[in-house]
Amino acid sequence: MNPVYVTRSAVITSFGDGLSVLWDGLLAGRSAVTPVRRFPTTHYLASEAACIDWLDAVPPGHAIERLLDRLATGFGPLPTGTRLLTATTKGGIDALQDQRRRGADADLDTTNGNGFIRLAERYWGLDDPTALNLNAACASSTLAIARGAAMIAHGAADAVLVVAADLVSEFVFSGFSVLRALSSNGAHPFDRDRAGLVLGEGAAAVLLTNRPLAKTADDTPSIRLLGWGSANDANHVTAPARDGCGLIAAIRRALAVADRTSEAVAGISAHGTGTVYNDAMELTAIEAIFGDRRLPCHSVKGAIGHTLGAAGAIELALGLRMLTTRTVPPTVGLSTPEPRAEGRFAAVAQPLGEGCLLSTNSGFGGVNAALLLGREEDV
Amino acid sequence: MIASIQGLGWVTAAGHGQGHDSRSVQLTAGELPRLRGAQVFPEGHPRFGRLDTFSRIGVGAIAFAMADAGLANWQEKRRTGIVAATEHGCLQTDADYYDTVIPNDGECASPNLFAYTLPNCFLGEAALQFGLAGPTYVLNHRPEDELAGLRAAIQELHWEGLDGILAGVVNADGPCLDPQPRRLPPGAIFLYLSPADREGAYGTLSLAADGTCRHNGQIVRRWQTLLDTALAMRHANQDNDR
Repeated sequence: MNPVYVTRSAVITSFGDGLSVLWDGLLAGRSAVTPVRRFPTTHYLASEAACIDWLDAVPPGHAIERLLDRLATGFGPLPTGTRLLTATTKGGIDALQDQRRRGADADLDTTNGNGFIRLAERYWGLDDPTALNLNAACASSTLAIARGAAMIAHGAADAVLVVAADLVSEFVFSGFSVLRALSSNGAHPFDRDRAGLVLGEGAAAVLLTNRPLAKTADDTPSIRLLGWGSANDANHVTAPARDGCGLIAAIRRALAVADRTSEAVAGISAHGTGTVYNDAMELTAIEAIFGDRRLPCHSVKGAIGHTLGAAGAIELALGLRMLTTRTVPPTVGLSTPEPRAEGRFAAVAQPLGEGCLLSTNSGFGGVNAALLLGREEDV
Repeated sequence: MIASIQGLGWVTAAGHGQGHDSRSVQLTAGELPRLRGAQVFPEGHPRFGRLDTFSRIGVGAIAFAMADAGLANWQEKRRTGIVAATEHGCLQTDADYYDTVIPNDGECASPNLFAYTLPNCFLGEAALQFGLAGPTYVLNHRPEDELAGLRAAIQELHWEGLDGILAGVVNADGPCLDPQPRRLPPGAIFLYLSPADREGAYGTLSLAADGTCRHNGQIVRRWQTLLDTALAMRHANQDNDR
């Protein structure tokens, strides 16, 4: 297989534009979760989310395009023939909200994946007739990155741009509230007292390339995507499998693609939503794969909320910084780790030893996905 | 890359069924049949009646394809994936759900409808029903490239070393969808594909490096063409066996 490089990335989160503000916020142990202003939360379990503040002022139906426009700004030219994969769970769902509330005609194009593809093509100047949008719930962009990597590895593409975004909307907020998945006092991933997730919004773009394009790009091509895997729990539509079977299978597949054993993994960027069952399932999977090893682990969702379909791409971009600095940032919101998380997740930064970084996500529909990243010199 | 077509199932405005007992399937405009659980799962299904239309036709077509391939019964989970293409996904379900949010600012929001406002959730239903533990996702693509999802599925089958994969297309109907531009009429179709080392009752699909898809050597670009030729082969073989 051809080696796959993560050549460039861009992120926008509730901390602001770029990876550095996110990284600095995490190292400072800050949370970007604030009271929601864009819709009433009176009847919901929670009243806070990690919103991008300037999106509050964007007219209904235009938030996703403004977000992608801003994300693309400064990304730089793409290699000729770059293929496009996008990922979103609900895209421009604010357009549908507006249409249903006003009872008027509205352009619902951006609520579906094809409209999302067209926006990405517009802002990155691409015209890819083979572009796809993947929807696999909260593992959408993780699966898109996995597919992009497979395309390069098997010679079906030289460069793949993955673009992902999701919004904090009343639509999704009300749904997680009625499913009783929202926490009323912030997200506390892997904490003994965790009580649910906090929603967030964000966007990320990741450019994957083969070796020749990585070498000729302006950026420093130091990080490789070594392995990827996905598996379905085949257990429940909205709840994770308690035995972690799907996540275990996805991680094992990623290790197999990378031709590595679990010993090669130095740290983990977990999904870590802060719900009781998700985090317990992840710990079960971590123990099944790594036994008693106490790898440094991290979840970003206490700081920027759960960014749904964009989570995997944002966390991949964060993983680049983790590998570059050899640092696992604090798990914001964590106070007292549950017993199985002790020695793994911490409220302070932890050193990341030599080796690979595992990044995982799981979602509704029984989906699990895993990515394995490594520094070029460690490969 | 080559894949054998082992099973075929569908739910369209013209009816529902599986390849071994029908000589044609028509992707035609019209109202979709309201499938009952007993029509799909003779032994019953606890949630089928509560599924939204998008999920119901998707799970139904997958169930018919699995039965047609002789794979409906299972003991151990299988490394089989599902790739489902759609134009507008569960937009009608989204609208129906949000209509329960608007009154009283969400106080009466429907948890059951919300669960199906992610278009991939019906794949979870199918996965647990049939023990399908491979990659599962829904995709969107340019409408004029009808078989883009099928190509992605063939690639997944080979790149991920799967036992098999269900490749299909699902498009629901409903008042919110009627004004939307669409290439295919409402309906769901799924093929069960396996690696080419197993003989397929419906012949083989090949995918060239340039993306050209062939069924038994003939270029195919449209679902209806593929369905027609696949069913013709299946029944020619059956007739010869007699």
